[in-house]
Amino acid sequence: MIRTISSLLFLLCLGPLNAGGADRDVLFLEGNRAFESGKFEEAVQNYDQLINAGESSPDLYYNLATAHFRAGSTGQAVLWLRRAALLDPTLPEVRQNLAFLRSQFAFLEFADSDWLQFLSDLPSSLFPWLVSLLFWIGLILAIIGFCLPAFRRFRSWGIALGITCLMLGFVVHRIADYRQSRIAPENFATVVGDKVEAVTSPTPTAKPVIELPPGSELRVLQVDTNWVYADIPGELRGWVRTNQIAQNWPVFQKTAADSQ
Amino acid sequence: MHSNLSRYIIVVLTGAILAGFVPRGIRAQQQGFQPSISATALSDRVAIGEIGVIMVKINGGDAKVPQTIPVEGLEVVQSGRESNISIRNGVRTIQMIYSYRFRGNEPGTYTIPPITTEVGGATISTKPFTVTIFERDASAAVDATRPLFAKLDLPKKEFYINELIPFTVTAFVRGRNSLRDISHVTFEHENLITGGFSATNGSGGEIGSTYYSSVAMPSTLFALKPGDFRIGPASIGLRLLDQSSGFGFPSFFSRTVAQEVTTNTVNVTVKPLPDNAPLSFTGGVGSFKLATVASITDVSVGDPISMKFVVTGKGNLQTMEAPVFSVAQTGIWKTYEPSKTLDEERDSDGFSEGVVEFSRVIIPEAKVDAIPPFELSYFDPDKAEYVTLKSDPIPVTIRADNTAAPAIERPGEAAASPAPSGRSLSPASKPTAQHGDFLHIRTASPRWVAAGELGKRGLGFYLVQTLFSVAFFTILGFGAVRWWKSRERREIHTPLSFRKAVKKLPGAGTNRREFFQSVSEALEIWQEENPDAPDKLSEVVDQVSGRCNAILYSGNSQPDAPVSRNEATEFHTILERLLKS
Repeated sequence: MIRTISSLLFLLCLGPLNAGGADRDVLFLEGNRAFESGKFEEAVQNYDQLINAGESSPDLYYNLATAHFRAGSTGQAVLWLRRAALLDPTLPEVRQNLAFLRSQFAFLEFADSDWLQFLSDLPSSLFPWLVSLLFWIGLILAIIGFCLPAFRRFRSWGIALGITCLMLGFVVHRIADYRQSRIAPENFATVVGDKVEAVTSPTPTAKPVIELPPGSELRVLQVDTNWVYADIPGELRGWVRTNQIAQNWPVFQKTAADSQ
Repeated sequence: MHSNLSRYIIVVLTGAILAGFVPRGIRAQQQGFQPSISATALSDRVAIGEIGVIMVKINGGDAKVPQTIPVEGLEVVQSGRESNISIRNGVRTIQMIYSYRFRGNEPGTYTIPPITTEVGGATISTKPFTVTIFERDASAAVDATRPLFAKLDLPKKEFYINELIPFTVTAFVRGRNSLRDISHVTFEHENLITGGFSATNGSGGEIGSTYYSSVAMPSTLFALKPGDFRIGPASIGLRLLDQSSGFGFPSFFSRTVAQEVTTNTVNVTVKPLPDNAPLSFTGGVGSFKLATVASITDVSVGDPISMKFVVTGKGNLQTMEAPVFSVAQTGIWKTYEPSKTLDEERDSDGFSEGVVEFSRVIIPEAKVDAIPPFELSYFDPDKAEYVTLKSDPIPVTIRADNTAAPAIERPGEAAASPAPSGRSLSPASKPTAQHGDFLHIRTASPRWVAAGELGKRGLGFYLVQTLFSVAFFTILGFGAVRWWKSRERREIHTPLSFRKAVKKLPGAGTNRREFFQSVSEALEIWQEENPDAPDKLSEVVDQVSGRCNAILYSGNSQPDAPVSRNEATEFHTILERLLKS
């Protein structure tokens, strides 16, 4: 009896989870089917439904990018490949397709140094961990010689190591700050519109700075209502219309162009 | 239109009044009158674009006439009407006059068909007649018999596609200062692109023996298609000075009136450009010079360089596109769509030189020593041949950068272009990718991840923070407890000094026993601290100590009562003096 009740309770708990999982798998398969039958727009709609429902998957993002590419939206294809790479930087298909797009379309990308690339590749959650560990270890090492008689002998070593850890923690914190403000994916946007130009001021009559082919990467510096002030690869800066770009991350800060 | 209408109303009313006084016999004669209709053109020869007038007269009453007369190739529209009433030999006659404006754009003879209408129950029709639309050439455009006319001057009648041709439209008006303003100039042709008519040059002179004021408006045009075309007439809106009073005398007050005048037409032949255009021909026709500047000459592989091309010369800068590499640079230089800057005030007008600037971003994909030459070809209409301008190579320093340089050789690159230095790859170390197409979608079951997982701190993070903080504060608490205890121990074992004893002395209002015990202890400490004190001072201390003992132990005083303010002050003063001594 008890076993039966516990089984029922388990099924009741598991039921909704399984139903949600089944739904998203079905939608994913429907998207795949539409893609296989050459209905790329329909495939995009199916994948979009999943994303609008809050589902995240590198495979989903990758498939959406592929469907966008086949439907003729190069900018959207590059955007979703970049998003897929953020979820799973090791996905070879993403790197390969980005290389293909680079060989076919002259979109602009930031060419970061090895050090910045390394920083960019590190998971963003690593930094708070590192900072907090160094902070706590430094503090504990600094006080342990004073507070615990057993460690009195190592008091000077403890203080030295503790201060070193605190200094390292401070350095890592500064690096994390720099990464957050400059290299983190939240700072980057992708040009998704066609015939996009960066211009010298946020006015319709402004002169052009450079043409930005679809898929070009921008580092967002300032966001106004309809305009974004951004770093452009090649040490350039200019204003771009908000509805012509989409932020790389998070997914749900969608622009008008993104939702088209 | 309004004046016609009011005149018509007045005439009709007058007619009606007069009709009231006409004897019955006269009215009877009107009834026997036969209605008639006739149509004539004021001038049966009208130049292309100019407006002619047809008058339709109806005798014997009013009738309904059409607003337009359908004639193929002509635009005939009713423009006004007028009525006259006359009485001759006792017979009252009503005459209606309808005017039609017509205009033709193709030369030829056009037949105006009969206009049929009904007057007093009888159906009457005009007779068909012809009008001729003719081409007015430039020499006939200047006509001193007309009060105003306009002329289109085109110096070249035969030119190439895209060749910039200057031309002038001039308006002439009889009289000095009679031309006040130009309201608009319309000059359109489906095969022509014309510049604006922003500049005007006013002057005047005698034609025949009559003085004419004139305004010349220069502009440029170029053709889009080859072939023989008639261009014009241009239409010019004028504001003229009108000094007539309407009674045959000059008016005291001058006023301006709007008039429209059309120019002559010109037949031109547009020749196609020769077929042997070089690859670098981008549409420029004229005579030009090229200057090239690179924004930066010290870059890393993958860094953009902005190339600026300044083209100066006489000719059509509007149809010109940016220079291109002399030799294809696939895999060595990536190029982007150029931008073009051509300000209207810096454009060539066909006589003077203009300037156009192009900007093109190029990115080195390999280490090379120079930016290769760019080419710009244009067609020189004077020489009737293509001319190619070539820029010099620009030396650059390109530093290798692994992050920017693509590590994969592209298909067909080796055959198409020379292998750039520093890009040789060992086939064993890295396979050659073809990159023929986008990879297919992933059909395996997807790996779902929690939404917003990227960069978020999970429960583990906060758990670890809690553990660390618990450990830290435990150690810190342990240390704090130890420190507190040792401090207490130190305090117990440390003898009290006289200074501290004085400081710890309670104040007024405290229990007398407590107060005097503290005083007594303080005095004992003083004695211990000052064994060699002067006798007089020792005596004072003994006396005070005796007072304290008497209060504490004699049983005469009330030890539990509060100490008075005076007593407390007195003993405080004594002890502080001892402290200072």
